[in-house]
Amino acid sequence: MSVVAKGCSKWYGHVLGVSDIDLTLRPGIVGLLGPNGAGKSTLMKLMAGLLRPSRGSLAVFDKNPFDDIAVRRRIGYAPEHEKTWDELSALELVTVMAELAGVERSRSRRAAETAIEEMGMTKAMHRRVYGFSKGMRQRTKLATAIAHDPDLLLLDEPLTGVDPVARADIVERIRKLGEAGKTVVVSSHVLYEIEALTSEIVVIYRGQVLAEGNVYEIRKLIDKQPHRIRIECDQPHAIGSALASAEHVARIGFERGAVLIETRDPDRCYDQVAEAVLAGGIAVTNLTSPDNNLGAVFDYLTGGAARE
Amino acid sequence: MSELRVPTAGEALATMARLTLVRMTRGKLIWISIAMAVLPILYAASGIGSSLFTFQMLVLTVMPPLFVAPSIGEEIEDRTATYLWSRPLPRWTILAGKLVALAPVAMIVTVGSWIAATWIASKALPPTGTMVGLGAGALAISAISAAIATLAPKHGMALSIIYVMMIDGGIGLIPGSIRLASVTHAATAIAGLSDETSPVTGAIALIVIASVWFAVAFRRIGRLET
Amino acid sequence: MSETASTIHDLGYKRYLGTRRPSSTRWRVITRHQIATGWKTWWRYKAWLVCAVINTVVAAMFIFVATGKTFHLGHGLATTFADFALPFSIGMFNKIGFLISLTIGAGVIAGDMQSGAFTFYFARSTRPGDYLLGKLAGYGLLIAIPTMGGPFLVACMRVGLAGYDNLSELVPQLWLLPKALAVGALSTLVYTAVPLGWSAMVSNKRYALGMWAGYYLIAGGVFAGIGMSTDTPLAAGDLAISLNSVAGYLFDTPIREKFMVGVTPALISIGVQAGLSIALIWYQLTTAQKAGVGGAT
Repeated sequence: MSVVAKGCSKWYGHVLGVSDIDLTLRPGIVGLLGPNGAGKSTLMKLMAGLLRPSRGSLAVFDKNPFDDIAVRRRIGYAPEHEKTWDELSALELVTVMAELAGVERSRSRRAAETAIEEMGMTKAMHRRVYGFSKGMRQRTKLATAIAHDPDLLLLDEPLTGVDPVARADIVERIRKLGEAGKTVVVSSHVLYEIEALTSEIVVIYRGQVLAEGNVYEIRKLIDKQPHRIRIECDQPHAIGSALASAEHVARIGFERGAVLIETRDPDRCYDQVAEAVLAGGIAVTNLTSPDNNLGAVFDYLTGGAARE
Repeated sequence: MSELRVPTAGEALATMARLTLVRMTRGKLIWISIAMAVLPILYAASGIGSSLFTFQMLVLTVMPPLFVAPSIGEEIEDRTATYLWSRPLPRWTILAGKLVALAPVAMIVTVGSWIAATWIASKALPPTGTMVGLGAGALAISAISAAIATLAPKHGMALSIIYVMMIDGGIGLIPGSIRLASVTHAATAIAGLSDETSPVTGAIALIVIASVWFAVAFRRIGRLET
Repeated sequence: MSETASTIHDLGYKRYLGTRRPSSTRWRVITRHQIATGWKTWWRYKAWLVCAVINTVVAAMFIFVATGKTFHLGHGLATTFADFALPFSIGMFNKIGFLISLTIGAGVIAGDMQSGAFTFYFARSTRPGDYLLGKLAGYGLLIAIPTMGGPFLVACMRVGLAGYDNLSELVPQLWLLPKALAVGALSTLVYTAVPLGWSAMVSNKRYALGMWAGYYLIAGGVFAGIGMSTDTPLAAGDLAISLNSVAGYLFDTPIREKFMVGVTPALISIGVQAGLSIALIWYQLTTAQKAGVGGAT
């Protein structure tokens, strides 16, 4: 396991950062999701060894990252804030970060150049960070995090302020890092950013882990909210009639050229829809699940938590 | 799995010192400090040689806080310290690296200004004791500045200057042994300009004071969370 | 379904149509913000306010306990504790003013430039004059509390606690009050305008603070040293000596002549330095407004 948290809590004076976190992270990309102030950055900093738990424990590769210096060699952290040492060029910055992370001085420059190239910053690497745009700063930050080839990458809001083209590029590069076998934890409050990266999520809300796992499996677990399935076809009422008596169906609604079904058992519903379509020779043009996505899951989880 | 090499303390210290020096030379701070260091020289050039050491003590009050305190305080306030503290380094090497880079610069500027001013005033080098006193004083005040910057990062430089000017200076005026707790008094004693305290006693006092403040700074930096 | 008129309501942004603050009072917003910012954290202002209170109490003790006792200043000079307490405490209040200038003053405008706050101000209908007046008034009020309020309180105590046999002894002492206010006003001007001027010179708080401290302590010391050695009014370039000289003249304090300058050179020095500082701030503001301010540095 890369990260294991047991009853981990952190407070700043009277302000609660995270509370009673039990979490296990394995290699791959994990999205750390939550609204502003949920505790994402606090959890990231606990993993990076910048904070000590006020209670409980958090181990990275079986070591306490705050106290164990060696384990931090395997961690790469890109913080949320933009501030860096603006007097340095991108290459100088990444080189010195690589050296401080344990890369030998004779190899640090090469490692920095590789990391900068991976982040698509080669052309600007000799320019001082002072004149960089937000996207360039983000890429440079990411380069500092990967230059020493860590096993655990902690990326705190890596896409903040980045233009759409750069965003797609960075997402692709992060995905490659995950495919290379690293544990990549990406935090964001922007759902489609996480959706583009991974389906494995940890939802944090008010300092606590609200849900963790695959987003689609989490969706299935949300019993209180029936799944919605929208079918565009030439005979929506025929499908509606076929499913009207099914126990798992909570509601059926009709739109122009489409039927909207709310069901508590989406798998059975799909089977029955298929049977109805085949039996009636219905021409289906589109079949979607409007709430089988991260946004809906997040909304159901946090909205439900807020109502409780 | 990546190669698990952790930098040695010496490597970390050297890298930090190099980083700090590069950043310092690319800023305007060195020019501001030189401009301040020139002022006693102008005073000496006006043909007046009296109270020259007093001016040098004013330079001593300002120079180390100017270099050391913001370098540490801004790192903490701006949160660029997160880059350093997430690295596999003992935290003391981060602070030590900065001090290794900046304290000598503060010492050189302070003592250099003194040498130049004395040369202009008297066409001779100043007594060795005065140079040692100022240099040692600069080192001790660097320790004070580092500690204060870790305790109050936002106002590190201001509080360091205030401490040296008001509290340390005030302690130095108290008759008796208590004045040995004053860096400025100890520096004056090492320079051989104190009637009450011998240079050796002043040196011992300075070492003790600097050690205490270094201990505060290193302990604090090891426990800070950001 | 009955036929009713359909309508879609715009629930989005609506332009504010209510009364707006007159432009002549916008500086007050900046003043209030400056005071509120100064009041945050312990080390910015509160610690020095406590020092000012302690100074006031100590001065009061001297006045009350040792009113008529003689205090020897050395070099053949002497006065009573009661007479010495006020000018001495003014010197201490001025030091407190300098301390506040280190923790607040020198970083005010430099901090705004560094953080990009000028964009915030001048993207709105804030004029350079509003900003200047607001900062001077806000920071000036913070300075005035110890440098003007403190001496005034001590003067009140001097008049009230010193003890008089009859009214004819008391009435002349009442002049201490406006004198204390006058000296306090000068100190407020010095420790407000000049550090703000240095703050406007660079867009980096650290540099601004270092330059102000170096100017006040070292350059001031050089002015004083040359002036005292050559017996010229050049010593008035040291702001502390100028303020002490005015206080010494007004309160008739026996101060060694070499540590004093004449009142006229002192007032000229204060006026020139304060005026130049305000002019520099004005220049920076108008330049920033016309240049199209960028983001934070």
